[in-house]
Amino acid sequence: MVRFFLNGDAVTIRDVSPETTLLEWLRGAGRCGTKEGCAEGDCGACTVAVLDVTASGRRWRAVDACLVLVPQLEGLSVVTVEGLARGAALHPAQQAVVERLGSQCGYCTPGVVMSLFEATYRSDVASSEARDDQICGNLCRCTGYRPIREALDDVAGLDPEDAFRAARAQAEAQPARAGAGARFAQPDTWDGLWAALARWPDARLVHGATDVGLEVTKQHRVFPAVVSLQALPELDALRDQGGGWSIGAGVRLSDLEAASAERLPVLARMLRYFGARQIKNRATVGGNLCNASPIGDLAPVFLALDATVLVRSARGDRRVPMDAFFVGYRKTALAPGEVLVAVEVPDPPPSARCAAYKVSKRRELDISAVSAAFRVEVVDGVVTGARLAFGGMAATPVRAFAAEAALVGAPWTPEGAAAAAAALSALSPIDDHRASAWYRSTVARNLLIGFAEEGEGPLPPRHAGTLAVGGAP
Amino acid sequence: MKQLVTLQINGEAQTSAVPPHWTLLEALRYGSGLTGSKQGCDKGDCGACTVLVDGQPQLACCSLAVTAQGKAVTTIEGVADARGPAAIQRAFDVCGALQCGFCQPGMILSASALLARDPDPSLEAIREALSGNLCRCTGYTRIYEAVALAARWLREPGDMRGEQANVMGPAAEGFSVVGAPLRKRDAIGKATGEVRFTDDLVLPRMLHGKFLRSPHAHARIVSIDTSAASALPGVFAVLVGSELTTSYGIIPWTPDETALAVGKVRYIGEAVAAVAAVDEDTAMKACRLITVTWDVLPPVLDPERALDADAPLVHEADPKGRALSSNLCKEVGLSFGDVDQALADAAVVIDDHWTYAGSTHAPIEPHCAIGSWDPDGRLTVWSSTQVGHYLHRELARVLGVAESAVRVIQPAVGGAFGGKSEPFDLEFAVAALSRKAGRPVKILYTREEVFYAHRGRHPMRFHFRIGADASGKITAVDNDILLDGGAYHSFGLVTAYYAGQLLSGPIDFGTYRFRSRRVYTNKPCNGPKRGHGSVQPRFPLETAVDEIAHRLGIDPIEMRRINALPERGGTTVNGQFVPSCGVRACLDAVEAASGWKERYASLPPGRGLGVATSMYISGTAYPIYPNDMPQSAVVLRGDRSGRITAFCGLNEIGQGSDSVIAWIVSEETGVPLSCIDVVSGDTDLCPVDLGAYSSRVTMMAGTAAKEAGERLGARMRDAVAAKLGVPPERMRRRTGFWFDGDDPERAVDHVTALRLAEAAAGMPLGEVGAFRTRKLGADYRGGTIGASPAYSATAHVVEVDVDRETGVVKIVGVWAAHDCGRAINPVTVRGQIEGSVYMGLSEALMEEMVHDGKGLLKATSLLDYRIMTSMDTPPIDAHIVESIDPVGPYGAKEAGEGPLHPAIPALANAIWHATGARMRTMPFTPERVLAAIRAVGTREQ
Repeated sequence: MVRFFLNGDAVTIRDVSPETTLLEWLRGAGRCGTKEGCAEGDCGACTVAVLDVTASGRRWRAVDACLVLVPQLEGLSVVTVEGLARGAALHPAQQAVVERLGSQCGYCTPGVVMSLFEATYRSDVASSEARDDQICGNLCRCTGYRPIREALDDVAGLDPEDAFRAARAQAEAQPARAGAGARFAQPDTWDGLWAALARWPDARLVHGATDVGLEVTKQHRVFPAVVSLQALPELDALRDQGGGWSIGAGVRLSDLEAASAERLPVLARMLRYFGARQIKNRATVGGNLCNASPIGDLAPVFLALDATVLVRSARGDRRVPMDAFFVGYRKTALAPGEVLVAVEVPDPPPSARCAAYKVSKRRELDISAVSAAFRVEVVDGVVTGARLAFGGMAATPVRAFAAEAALVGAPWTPEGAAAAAAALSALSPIDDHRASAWYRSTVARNLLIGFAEEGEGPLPPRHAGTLAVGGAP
Repeated sequence: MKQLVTLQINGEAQTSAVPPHWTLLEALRYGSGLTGSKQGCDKGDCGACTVLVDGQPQLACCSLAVTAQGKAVTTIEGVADARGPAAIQRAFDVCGALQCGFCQPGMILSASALLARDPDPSLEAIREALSGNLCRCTGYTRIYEAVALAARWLREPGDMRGEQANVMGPAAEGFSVVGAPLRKRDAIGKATGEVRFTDDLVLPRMLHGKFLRSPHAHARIVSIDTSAASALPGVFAVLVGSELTTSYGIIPWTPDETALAVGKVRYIGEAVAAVAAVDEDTAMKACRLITVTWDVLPPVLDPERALDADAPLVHEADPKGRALSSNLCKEVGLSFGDVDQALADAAVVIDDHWTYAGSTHAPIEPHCAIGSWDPDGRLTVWSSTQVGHYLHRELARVLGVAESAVRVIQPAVGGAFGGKSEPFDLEFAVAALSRKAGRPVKILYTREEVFYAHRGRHPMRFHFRIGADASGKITAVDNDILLDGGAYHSFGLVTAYYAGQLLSGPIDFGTYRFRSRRVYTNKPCNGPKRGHGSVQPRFPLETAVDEIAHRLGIDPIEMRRINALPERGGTTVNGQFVPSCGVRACLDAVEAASGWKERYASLPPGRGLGVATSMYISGTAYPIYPNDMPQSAVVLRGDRSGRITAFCGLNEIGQGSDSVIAWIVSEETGVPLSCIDVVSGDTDLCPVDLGAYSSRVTMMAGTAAKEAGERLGARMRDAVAAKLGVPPERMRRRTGFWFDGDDPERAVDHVTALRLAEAAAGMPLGEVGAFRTRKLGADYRGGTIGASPAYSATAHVVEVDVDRETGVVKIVGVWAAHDCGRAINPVTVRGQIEGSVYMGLSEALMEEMVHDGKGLLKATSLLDYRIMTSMDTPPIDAHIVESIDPVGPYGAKEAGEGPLHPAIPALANAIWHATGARMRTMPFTPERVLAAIRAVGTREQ
């Protein structure tokens, strides 16, 4: 059984399988305002809002209903497009879409409205870039986006005094609560987690479900059991621990993006191009690392920054250097019964320059052809330390050890970088429909050389948007 | 034994004898004859019997009459008073909260009780107050609105809704509606999620269907065993191809498809069998239990290889059963003037090969259909189609029933773009499965299935030659085109013609020759995508013209002015008459807006500007199947209540065609928009319109609406003139009124005008209007294909920023000017321009249908098949040019497809300007751009 609030009404659902998505349930229950466009988090037509309470705050978040597993909603509040209008009075987000002619065929409109709804209550969407990010997860084939963007500009940051603002402030608003069902557990204590894992050793661990959700909607996967980590509060924490930062495995990527803007800009910039806001509102640091994809976008950044992961099991804690975490294609060093608790990132030394790049066919909402993150320490114009990490260049995210060795001791110039970049030939990427091996290798070289060309101080104005991520904010 | 009960009913003491087991409802309905209170369920579930007892709502069916002894009971009959209906009742009316009306008595009483205790109820309070009243018609929203409105009226008497609340700005000079920036009729419904798309529809006892699809690109079906699937509990019908063997096709001469594969499959994803079951899960399970024995054949995937003598045949026979010896589906060759001599004489010749990648529509709504048979053997199909009429005809043919036994209803469609413009397997399958199962059946495509259904942009390969004289005048174009058709014919012969016939403007050629060959391959079928057949050849033409301009030292915009068709009454080299062509004004607009003159020569390295133009049809000259009937018609019904209902079989797919009809009818009759209804997309209720394709709706349905509106308006004018005693020609109208032009004080409102007209006619008001086929086109075989009543014109300037390290192209800005003849609504025209520009840039930059060596489509999701997001979409500066076409209604031409065309070549020309690399292959991915830059070096080098 799962209980949550839908448009202000308490909802109780019995006998729901852990593989039921919120979208499937909503439409099955006759709440057809929320649309299915792809059922895989690519189009945003199913966007709804969830009141999310974490260590970093309480906010309405736009999420893709197709990638939310219903049992995970225990205790949460959900708002759909049907829940916005108050009698004849449209919500500002709806009114703006109407006034700006932001709807043609209307199929993406409910999702667009819900992304605008999130923006209505956000206090950090003043910049053009933040607004771009807000709406990039909603695909529209009719309008060309201009009217939608204007509607967004109308409502962003309004934060009107209304029921949704009130709901956000209410004490009853809680983080996800412990829940349980047949083949499902969402423990809120570590002991509860160990018990669940002891009961179902083959359980699928899930947090934001943005990747697991695809296995459900596309492969019709039925898991032996699903154990959700969403109610373990410690996982939400972002902690300064003197000389470094501990990032909880359950930190939502949108929160990490906001928090790292000043603390660790290289991370913030990579997250900007990571994916749709709806995805970043659910996806977590731990999930991105644990699925161990060779093109996971966070891995190269953490590799370059010399991070360590904190791992916990019923037997106790241990630490694993990031370098040793990825042991094969989609395989990690986690033993059975272990979960990732946090990523510990040391502050880069003052002599370090950091940059991260993501190259893909589409700027947003795409899987990297190549991603790269670099931390190079330069003293008196000479490289004294280098960590060069790449995604999309091998079966796992990797460091380019040969190129690092070639770089240390060399002058930090484009020529020096070009010489070291020759050693990248040790990496042999594959040809696939995202890019050819030729393109990957060429771009990997060019990124390193380009990094060196950027020189000291603030970045020169590059061809905006071409190198997706720069080295400084 | 009866008991005497005295009740204060609606303020009046009534004593009646009732059996002790009677409910209050029975006492009211049978004892007192007050039948306003309804019995909906008789068990307290529905609330239709709600009455007030001592001011509190109660369910009359759940209380015994005797227990109400001495109490005050208010029923619906007691809500109105001597002054008329109560505010709550008027509000229900005004807000459209009344549909069937059965639940309203109880609803209104619950609402009355709420308003009595809370003069300003929140929505929560309203919902809570009405939570015991079930309504099956309205979805409640109108009801909440009505309650809120009633509350406002009670607080602020005199506050009324303005009739013109829908108008956002003034109309064009001389008009009352045309040219005004109006809201679309369905905008609010869409913003609230109320509009129902096909998948939002649920019928009683409805089953869900799923397809088994082919895993092979080319294979014979040796046998199909469906016994295990049929035996699965919850399965009600299983269908295989041999049960529906009548072939169909959107073009009547080339019916080469069947609902499900018969004998063999021709692409991966082709439907082989279908199952209807209680739910989708069971249907999927049943599909997995179907065993197909295959004889796998070698596939042919490359269109050039498909023409080899030893290539496997995709089709062994044509639709008439005659053996085929080649995969050539259609070949067209036409020649106008001495091309060879003109090329020999040319000062500059470009001779090269171009490749245009296939792309797909990707509407956000997947295709969906529901089929249902009534007990008398009539079929109704609800479908997300954009061609309801053609679907109607093909359903009847394939299912073997009379057309009169089929009804097609098109609910709201969530985007189409040509991808829903012919019949699909699911529409036949829901009808056939429903017939077998005796229950309604719904099928909703998965996103993956949308990619297999496809009918997208044809991949084309061009050997393109073009020559110009020293002044820049284009003297010759010679184009050899190879179209990869995929597995079936679809619109193929039209596409093959369009690839050549539609290229001849707005750039005018001295001589022209093309050969166009469409071939079958073992891939999902290609068809019409926004700008059918004519988008692709503009890529070689407009990039080659750019190159000639560069070689001759002519400014690229000037180059297009030199070669433009005349503004009025031009004729293209292939004999098409172009009544109006505003391309020069379009070029002027984008040249000024983009700062072209100041910036073209001075942009920094990596930055570039590119220009391109195009022209597109406003509907086709002739219907797809030859006939002498109108191509579109509108029936108007004027009602003495002051309303007009317009019936038209057009398919509203989000483009606003319902709204266009309403605007035109309002313009011609003076009846306000709030009093005009449009009924469309229903083959039972509406006269035929051929559908939402080839940019024909404003031209054709708009003309029909104008003709019908003029006729109804004339009746109103004459009747009012007679009443006022003035000659009819002195009458004028503005929204809501007809008046004497010499004395505007003498006016009659539109309701009275309709009543006077009805009285004068002596019968209910009805008028019809139509768009009739006119003789168009040139006098040679194929000369009518590409002929249109009018042609739009477009010019784009695109600005890019190209990164030479990664090849990534960022589009910095787009300026698009489109000659739509007359903007009936500038806001919706702008919406069409912007949507077109976006879609064109998206396919130029990243869209591509990629298959592996076995014919498997590699990108079947909206992640792997990339379409531009809001982020990739640059600011689009849309300009409207109004050439006031002599043919179209009010001078209007198309706006929904033309503005897509120039996006692709303008982008390519901008990339060249930024880098020196001439892109010949689409899409312009970072990899292709990087390779092209490497090949030629950059401009500054």
